[in-house]
Amino acid sequence: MKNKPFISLAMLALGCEPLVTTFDEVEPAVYYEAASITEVAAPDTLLVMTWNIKFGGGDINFWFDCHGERVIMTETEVLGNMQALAAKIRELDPDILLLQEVDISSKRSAYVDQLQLLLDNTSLNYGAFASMWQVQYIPSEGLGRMNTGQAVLSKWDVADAQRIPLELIGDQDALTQYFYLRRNILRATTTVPGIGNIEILSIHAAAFSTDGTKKKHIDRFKLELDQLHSAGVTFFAGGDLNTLPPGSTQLNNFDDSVCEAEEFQAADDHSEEVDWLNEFYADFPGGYFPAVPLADYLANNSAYFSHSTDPVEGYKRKLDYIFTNSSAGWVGGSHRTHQEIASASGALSDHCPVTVQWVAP
Amino acid sequence: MKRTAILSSVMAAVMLAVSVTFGQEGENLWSSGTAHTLPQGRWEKGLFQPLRFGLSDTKELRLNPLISLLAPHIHLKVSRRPVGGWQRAYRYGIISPTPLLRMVQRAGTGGFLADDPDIGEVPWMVMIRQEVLLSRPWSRGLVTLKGGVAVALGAGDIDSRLQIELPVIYPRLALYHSGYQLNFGLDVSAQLSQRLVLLGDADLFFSPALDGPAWEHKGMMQWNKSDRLQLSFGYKLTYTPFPWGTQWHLIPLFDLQIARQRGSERL
Repeated sequence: MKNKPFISLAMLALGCEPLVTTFDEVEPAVYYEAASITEVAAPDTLLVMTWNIKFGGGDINFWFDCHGERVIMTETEVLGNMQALAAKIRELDPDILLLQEVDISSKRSAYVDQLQLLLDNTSLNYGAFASMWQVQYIPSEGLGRMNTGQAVLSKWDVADAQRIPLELIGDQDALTQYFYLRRNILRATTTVPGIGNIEILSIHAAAFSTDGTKKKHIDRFKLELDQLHSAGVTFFAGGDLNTLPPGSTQLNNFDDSVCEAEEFQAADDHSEEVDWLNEFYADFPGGYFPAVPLADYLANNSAYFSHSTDPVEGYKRKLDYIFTNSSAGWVGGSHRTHQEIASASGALSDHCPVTVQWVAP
Repeated sequence: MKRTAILSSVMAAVMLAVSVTFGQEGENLWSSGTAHTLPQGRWEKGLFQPLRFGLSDTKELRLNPLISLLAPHIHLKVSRRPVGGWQRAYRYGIISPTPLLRMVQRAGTGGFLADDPDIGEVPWMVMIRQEVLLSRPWSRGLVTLKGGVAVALGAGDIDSRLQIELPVIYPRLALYHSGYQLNFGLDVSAQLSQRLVLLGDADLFFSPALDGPAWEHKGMMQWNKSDRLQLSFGYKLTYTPFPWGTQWHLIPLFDLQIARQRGSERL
């Protein structure tokens, strides 16, 4: 609340819309619907998927990864990349999809509403969106207007969608913090015919924090899941946690980390995070069922790597997760980490999708 | 958070300065914005307003000395004999925004344009503008009609990403993406008292690079302490067809102007 006078000043100076949308409280998310609804019969099995789509950036080398200097895509590039993403989603045909880094009105992605595009070009019908970075104008790097965030998509109606704010990074100066990302958990309910209500949660935890903010985001996510579980609610929850599973063999010095900036190197050093996900992987019901069982991951880390700043050279670390509290867990052996989206000829994103099947108990 | 307010103010000031620099006169608070020119030898300068100088009783020069270092420009207004009770004037302007735009095409803070190898550097461009102004007294004030055309040279097929999507600036930069632009406006002033003047104006910009006309309205209250010092404050309301849709913006305006008469101790 103490920021209100300054936000008002910014509004006065720059317009009737706030310069930066600050999302101080839990707020309703934004609902979406496909241009034409695809009727879907009551399913026997659900396929759940999470994907950080890098705002439709494909394998373009942007300035923030230090592999290139690109900043603003052309509309042709964005539409081409998004159609390729949509084709992959159609191929995998998830029933429920958690997305991160979805742009809905950003200069860097030619103002394409990527969530609407995906709904209109897949068999998913309904969605909800929560912004993590909504700024009228970012006077840095030529970024300009930005509106990006997480989404949940479902073949069935989505309701009660909430944007739950997460703590801001605490060691930034006030100006940087004001213009910086505002992480959140997007939570919504989808009603599956013959099964009932399922809560869907999508998170994109902090990447560049050196003050423990990322840990707070992960802990807040766990708390949200614990509260849902205590209330007897079935959930599918996941996203990009920006940390590694317990027991990962490599924690730092990744060969795709080419940025020399101290902040970037610190963000990609996970040696202090080895136990941050222990509570998620603890035996049910203290922990929850991960899409990729820890035993599978420990047997072969690299088969489940889901992120690289240079995916054409292969994925280097696992950052993307899905959990459920359904007592039956996931269908054994049904998980896939789709590293095939990257090859020597290109990649659809710097993250690959993770899918897993679920059957109602 | 004070820095946020400071940044907002700085950005607003940049908007105003650049808007003046990019060739659309109209913030002529003391006696301009009309078909009248300054008396020979008189100059006026504001914190934000450009320097104006009366070359003769029918010719007036205008430029912003600081901004001209980054965006070389000059404007000339020439008044003509009245016709049918309307005072006439022509305004001519030339500006190259390239050095200023190249300065803000950078990585990091202050980067208003992306330094993206796929976009390339801002090309050398020159804008030439001509406007007609017609003024006549009404009641206790003055009404002015204006219309103009601007042509951009050298922009060629400038990359559409070389735009700054901010009010005031966006419609003016659109000129370089379309090659030409038309503008029409109406200014009205009313003398409220010996020292108080109320100003209102409306301007329309048409350009093929805009998804519809851009509209701006200004309301200002001027307090003329003397012929040498003037305070003014008010607002600018803008309606801009941005790529993602149209938006309204309300921008506070204020200025302090001083004036002197060359060759005269006191005006």
